[in-house]
Amino acid sequence: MSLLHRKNRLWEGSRMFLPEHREQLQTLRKKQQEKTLPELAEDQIEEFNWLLQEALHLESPIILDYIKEKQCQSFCGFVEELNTYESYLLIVNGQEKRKIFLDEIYRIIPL
Amino acid sequence: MNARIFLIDMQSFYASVEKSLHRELQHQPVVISGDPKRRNGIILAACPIAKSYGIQNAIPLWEAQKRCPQLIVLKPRMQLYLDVSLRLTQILERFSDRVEPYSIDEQFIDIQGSESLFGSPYQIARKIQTTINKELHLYARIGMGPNKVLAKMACDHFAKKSPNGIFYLGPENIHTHLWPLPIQKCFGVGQRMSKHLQRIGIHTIGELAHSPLPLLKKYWGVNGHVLWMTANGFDLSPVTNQSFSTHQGIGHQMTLPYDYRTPEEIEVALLELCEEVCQRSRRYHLAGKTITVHCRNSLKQATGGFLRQMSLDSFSNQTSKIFTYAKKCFFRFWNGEPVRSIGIRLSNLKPDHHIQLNLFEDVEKKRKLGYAMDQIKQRFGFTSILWASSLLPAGQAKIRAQKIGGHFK
Repeated sequence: MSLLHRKNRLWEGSRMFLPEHREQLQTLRKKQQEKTLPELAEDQIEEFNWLLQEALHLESPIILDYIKEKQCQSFCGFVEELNTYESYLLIVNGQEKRKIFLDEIYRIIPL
Repeated sequence: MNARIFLIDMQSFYASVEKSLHRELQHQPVVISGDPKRRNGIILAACPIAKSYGIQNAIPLWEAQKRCPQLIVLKPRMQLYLDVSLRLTQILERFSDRVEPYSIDEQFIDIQGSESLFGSPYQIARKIQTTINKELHLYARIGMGPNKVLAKMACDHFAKKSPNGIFYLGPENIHTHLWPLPIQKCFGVGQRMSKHLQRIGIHTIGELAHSPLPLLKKYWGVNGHVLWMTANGFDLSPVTNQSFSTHQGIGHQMTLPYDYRTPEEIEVALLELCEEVCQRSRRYHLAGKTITVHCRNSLKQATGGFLRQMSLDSFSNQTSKIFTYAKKCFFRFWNGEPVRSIGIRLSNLKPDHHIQLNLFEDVEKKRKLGYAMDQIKQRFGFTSILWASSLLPAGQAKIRAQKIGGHFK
């Protein structure tokens, strides 16, 4: 018995879908994937502070997990500047440099 | 029984939504119909009470009123129906993460893995039905099967007629239930195909299922193979919620308010359609290389219309260029008969980051012009900037901006 593997073609081809429906469905899906920052405990914030200070002084690389535009992001690099007054840090990896606000971070992994 | 895939279909969707919001109409015959003055006067949805008077979908409004003089006619509210459809998707997503909307009132769900949480497939189907009824006051019919094609046919041919609105179609009962049905009831067999099949002696789905595969492949290639699989209840398609991330083609179609007879009138409509198609292509940063023109003649005429396509010399999403080709294609095949509806589709799409430069015109400038127009429309409304031809009597752009799917929002 020979069966055709056509992925979802049978249904894509026959689908009756309004463009407006499609757009609104995509917006809904995007919204469902939105992430909000978990509330961090005080000792956790303290630990982050310590890990960042250490990474800055020892010039050791870290992995930062943070939330930007409601999506989870990750970046690995060296802490170049830690601005506690405006609460942000600059992290660099080769040519790439990112400015990350401290209240966007939810995990720091020292390497 | 392997009933992992469900097709959930809403009974008389538009009419039921209206009835759920107008409780006083609960026991009255209600239909949803467009404006007869603008040629949208067909029945889009009829509630079960209206159907008991012999009113079917797609018949003209005057005919429906003749069959049932006390009929309550409501105007469609497309945005409302879209909102309800999205709520439906969200309800189904409570039962499984694999939900695939198939149309505004039909959605597939794959419940494999959800049994330990919600019970047997039949119990899950009942729970889905009850939840939808409780939260949206709508009645759902559910076709169950081991794959999508059987779930769809279970819903269309059996669940709608079954007293509890749920039916399972699988290898156990396919020969007793599906195979005796006439060939035109097979999913994917339209009017024309059923005639072809009948000509070679295939009259029921069972006969199609037992036909030699090489013969079907010889006549209809891949399509023949797919039909043979459908008749035998085989379908390997997944239920996926990713199916909307890629575009196969971008198309728009409009039914004209009256028959357009002159090339000037038709050009106005063509330009507006090209603008809409290109605008949507630009929104997704896509450009196409194939254009399809669809034309349907007035019903009184004999030939029906045509559907033709043409290749562009390079990928494009510029209105003026697409319009030039659409015009060329249309007038090559138009036989001068009055036109009732017209459609344009751009396919063979790819991202528009790379463009073919031209020595004789400034392509980049035209590209930017398109995007600038889109931005103006996005900021100030769809009708804030229009082609001058849209102000002619044949222009539809202003009225179309107030509509979804050809009906008022």
